[in-house]
Amino acid sequence: MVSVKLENVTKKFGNIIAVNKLNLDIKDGEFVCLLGPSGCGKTTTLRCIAGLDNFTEGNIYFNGEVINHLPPQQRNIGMVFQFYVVYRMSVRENLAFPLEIKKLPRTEIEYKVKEIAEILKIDHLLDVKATKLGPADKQRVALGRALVKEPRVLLLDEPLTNLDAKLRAEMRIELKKLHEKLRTTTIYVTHDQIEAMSLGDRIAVMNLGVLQQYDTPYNLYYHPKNLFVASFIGSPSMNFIDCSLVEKSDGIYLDAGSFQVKLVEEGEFVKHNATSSDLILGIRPEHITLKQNPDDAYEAMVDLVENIGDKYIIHLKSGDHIIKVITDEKLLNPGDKTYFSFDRKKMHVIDKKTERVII
Amino acid sequence: MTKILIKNLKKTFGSVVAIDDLSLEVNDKELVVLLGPSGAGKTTTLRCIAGVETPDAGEIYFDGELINHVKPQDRGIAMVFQSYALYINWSVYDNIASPLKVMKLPKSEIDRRVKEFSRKLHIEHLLNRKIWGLSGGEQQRVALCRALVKEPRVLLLDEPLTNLDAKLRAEMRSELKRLQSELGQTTIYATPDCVEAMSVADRIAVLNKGKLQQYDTPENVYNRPSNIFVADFVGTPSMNFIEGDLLFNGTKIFFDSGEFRYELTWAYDIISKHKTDGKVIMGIRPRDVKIVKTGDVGFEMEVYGMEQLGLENILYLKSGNIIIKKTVSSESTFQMGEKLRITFDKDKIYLFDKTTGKSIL
Amino acid sequence: MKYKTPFIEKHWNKLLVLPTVVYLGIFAFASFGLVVFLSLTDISFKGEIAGFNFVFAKNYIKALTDPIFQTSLKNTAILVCIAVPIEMLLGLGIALMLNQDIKGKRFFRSLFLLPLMTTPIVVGNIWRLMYNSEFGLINYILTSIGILNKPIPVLGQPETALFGIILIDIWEWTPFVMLIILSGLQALPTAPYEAALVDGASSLQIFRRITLPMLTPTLIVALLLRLMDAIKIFDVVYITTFGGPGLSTEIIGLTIYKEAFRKLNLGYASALTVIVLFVVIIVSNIILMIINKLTKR
Repeated sequence: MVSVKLENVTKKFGNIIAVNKLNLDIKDGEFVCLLGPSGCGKTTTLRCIAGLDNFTEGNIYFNGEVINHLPPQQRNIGMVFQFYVVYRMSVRENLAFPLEIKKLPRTEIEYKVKEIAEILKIDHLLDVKATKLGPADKQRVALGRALVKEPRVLLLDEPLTNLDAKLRAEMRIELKKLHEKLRTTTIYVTHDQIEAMSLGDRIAVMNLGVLQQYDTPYNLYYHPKNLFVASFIGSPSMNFIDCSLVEKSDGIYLDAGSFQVKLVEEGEFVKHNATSSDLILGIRPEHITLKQNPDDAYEAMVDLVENIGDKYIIHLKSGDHIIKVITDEKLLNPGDKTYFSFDRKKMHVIDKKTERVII
Repeated sequence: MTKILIKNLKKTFGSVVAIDDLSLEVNDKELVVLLGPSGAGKTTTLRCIAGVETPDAGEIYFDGELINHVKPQDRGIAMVFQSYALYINWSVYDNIASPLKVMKLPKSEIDRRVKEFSRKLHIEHLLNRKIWGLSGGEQQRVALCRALVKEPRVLLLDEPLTNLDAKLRAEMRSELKRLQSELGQTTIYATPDCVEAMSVADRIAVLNKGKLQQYDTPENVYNRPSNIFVADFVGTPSMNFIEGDLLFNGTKIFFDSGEFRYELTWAYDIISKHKTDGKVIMGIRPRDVKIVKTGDVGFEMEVYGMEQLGLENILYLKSGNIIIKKTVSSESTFQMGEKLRITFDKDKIYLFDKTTGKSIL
Repeated sequence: MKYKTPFIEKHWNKLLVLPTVVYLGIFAFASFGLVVFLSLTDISFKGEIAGFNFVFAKNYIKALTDPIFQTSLKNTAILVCIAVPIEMLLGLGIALMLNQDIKGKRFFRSLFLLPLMTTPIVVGNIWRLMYNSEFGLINYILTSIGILNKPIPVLGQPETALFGIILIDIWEWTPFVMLIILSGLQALPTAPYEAALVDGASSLQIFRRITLPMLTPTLIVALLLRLMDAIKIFDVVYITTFGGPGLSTEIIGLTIYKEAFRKLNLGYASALTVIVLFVVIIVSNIILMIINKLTKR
C-alpha cells in the first residue's frame, strides 16, 4: 500500500500543454478519481503515473520516493484500460501472466489466481478463452490481472465507459466493495461525475490540464470553488443565471432582469469580494421549489417537461433565463404559468470574470 | 409528416434471431424510442425501416403505403448514425448540403434550407469550418442538421448521443426534444439508455432479444411495467427484486421471502385471478422503500453500504441473502451495520410471476 | 422482397470485374492450359516446328530419371531451405528494430529497401564484380583484415558457388520480408503491449508471448510469398553463373529455360514446368498445415 504524490507535473505535446503543473496528494489506501471532460488531461496524468508516457516537468513520488525514471515494469502497479485488454489466452493464463513474469512458484501462482478469480466471481470461467467473453467479464479479467500481483497502486482508465448502463451500475458496486476489502491505493479516471461521486473518497476535477478542485464528493457538490466545478458536478447540472449586483436603498440585490434576489447577510461579503458587478447566480434544480402564488416567489412559464423516471425536470422560462427544477410529480404542462423560489442557504454567487465562487 | 406501421417484422442473421415478430405503430409527429440492451434488435429494426436491411418477413407501411419494395433513397427517410458518418474533409456547409445536392434541388433552395436548419441547431457560425476541427457535440449537431435538412418523412436516430460526454448528453437530450416537437418530425430513436428514452419519448418500445416487451408512454412503462424485464431495465437506480412465495391462508395472502413476510390481502382479487404456481418475485423501486420507527410494521435490515450520487444517496440494506437499495437524501448519514426497520409503499409494490416474468400486481 | 432493378444495376459488381477476369483467363489460365497441353507432346523448335506428337507421360517419366533435373531440384531445395529461413529471421529482426522510435528511422527504412528496388540484372552484375577474386571488394576486404589467406573465387568453384548465390538472394530479398513484417507490426494494437509493460514483462517476454502470436498471420504471408518466389529464382543465376561451374548452381528455373530456349525441347520443358508447379503447391500446403498445427493451442 502506498501514498502517491504528484508535484508540479507538467506534460506537453509540442505546444499543447496537456497537464499543467498538477499537484496531487493521494493517501495510502485512498480511492481517488480524476474527473473531467475529454481532453482535460486525466488520462495523460494516469499514463504518466503508470510510466507509459514521460512527462516534461515535475516529480511523482510513491511513498516519498521519486519514481520518475522507473519504467512501468518496475513500478509495481496494476492498470485496467478502457477497452478490456485481455491477452489471447485462457482466463487462467491471463491472470497468471504477471505472476509468471515475476517467476513465482507454480503452487503459489495457482493459489493466487484462484483467490482473485473467486473474489471477482470469474472462477467458473478460468478455462475459457478470454477474448470470447462478454465485455463485463473481460473487464473483470483485466481487473483480476491487475490485482493478482498485489500492486502498490491500482490505475483505472475509464474502465466502465464501454459497458451497458445497467452493467455499469453493477460493476460500480463491485469495484467499491472490492476496494473496501483490499484497500489498494486506487486512481480512477472518468468523465462521468456520477461514477466519480459514487466511488471516490476524493475527486480531482480537471479541465484543460489544470486542477480545478480536489475534495470529497460532498464538498465538491455543496461547496464548489469555481464555475467549472459547479457546472460539471451534479446531474441535472446547476442552473446559472446571469445577473448584476445592484445597490438599492434597502439593501443589496442580485438583478437577473426578470426577477431580483435580495442578499441579506451575504450582501456585504459579496460586494467586497466581487471584482465587478457582473455576477452569476448558481442554484441546483433540487433546491428550487415551485409555488402556486407569487408570495416571496418569482414568476415563470413552463417551457419543457422532461420525465426521467421517478422525477421530472421542469424547464422554466423567466425573461431570457431557462431554469431547471426537479420535482417528484408532474404538476405542470408546457405553457403553464407558475412561481418559483429557492433555498437561500443553497444559493451560490459566482464572479463572472474570475469564475470563482464567492459564496 | 408520416404515420408508420410495422407488421410482424422478422429478421434472422444465420442462427441469431435479431427481430422476432415485431409489430409497432408510430403516429404522425410522434417520437418513439426503441429501448433495449445491445443485441435487442434496435439497430436492425431501424435499418429495416430505412431499407438498408431486407426483413425476412413482415411489412412496413408509410402512411398506409407498403414500402418494402421501395429503395432506401426513395423512402424519404433520413438517418443519423452513432458515429455521425460525416465527410471529414468537407466544410460544415457542404456536409449539410450534400443530401440536397443529391436530391438535385436548386442552389437557392439548398442555401435557404442549410441556413435555416443550421440556425435552428445553433451551428450557423460553423458553416465554413471543416469537420475535423469540431468538438463531438458540434459534429453531432452537424449530423443531425444534415438529416433534418431533407425535411424527411421519417427521422431515424441510432444512438446519436452515445459518443458524447455525460453532461453534453443531458443538454442535447432536451434540445433534441424541443427541436422535434417544434418541427413536428416523426422520429424513431434507438438507445440503450433508459433515462434518455424516458426524457424524450412520446412512447417507448422496450425490446429484448428481438421481441417487443412493452409499448407505452414513459409514465406507463415506468409505473406499470408489463413484465420483469421492463421493470428491471427502466429506471435508475434499478428496481429491487426479492424472490419468494405466495402463501394463501384462508382469505389472506402473504408474500414470503424467507426473511420476512408481507401481507397482500388488499390485493386478493387481483392476485387470485392469475394462474400462478405461487413462485413470485416482488419488485419495489428504491424510492418507495421506507424507513419506519420501531413498531410492528416492517422488518429489520442492516446497513450494508452507501453510494453518494450528489443529488441523492443510495443506501444498501441487507437481511440474510436479500440486498435492497433505498434512495436517501444526500445529507443523511448512516453507520455501517446500523439496524433499521423497513417497509414498502403499499401502492408501489409490483409482483411478477417467476416463471413467465409477467406482471401480476 | 427484392427490389426490381435493371440488369446493369443488379450485376454491376460482376461487370466491373469482367475485364480482369478476361485478362486473367487469357494470360494466366489459358496459357497454363497450353503448357499442360504441350507437356503431353514432344514438340520442339529444331529447324522449323519439327515434330508434334502426343507422347503423354513420356516427358514426365524422362524428368524423373533426368540427372540434370534432379540436380537442379536438389540445388533449388538447398537454396530455398537456407536462404528463406535466414531472410525471415533477418527480416523480422530488422523490422522489430525499425518499429521502435529511433532517430533516423525513415532514413534507415529507405536504406534497407534499396536492394529490393534494384533491378535483378543489376544486382547480379554488382555481386559478380564484388565476388571477383582479383579485384572484387569482398575478397579484398577479407584478405586485408586477415580472415582469408588468399582470395576465394566464390562463384568460380563448385564448392562455394551455390552459397554465393544464396548470399545474393538473402541480400536482395530480406528487405521484402522486412517490409511485410514491418507493416504487420505497425497494424498491431498497442493496448496489449502497455498492459504487458504494466504487468512487468521484459521486452523478450513481450515479444514471445504477445507480439509473436499476434504477428503470426503476417509471418505466414511473408513465408509463403518468399517460398514460392525463391523456388522460381532465375535472373541472378542467369547473370552470374548460368548454372555453373558445372551444375553447382543449376536451379530449376534455369534448367527449364535451357530446355525450352537453348535445347528447344518445348514439350519437355513444359512437363518440367508442370512438375515444378505441383512441387510449389505441395510444399506450401505442407507448410500451412504445419503452421496451423503449431498455432492451434
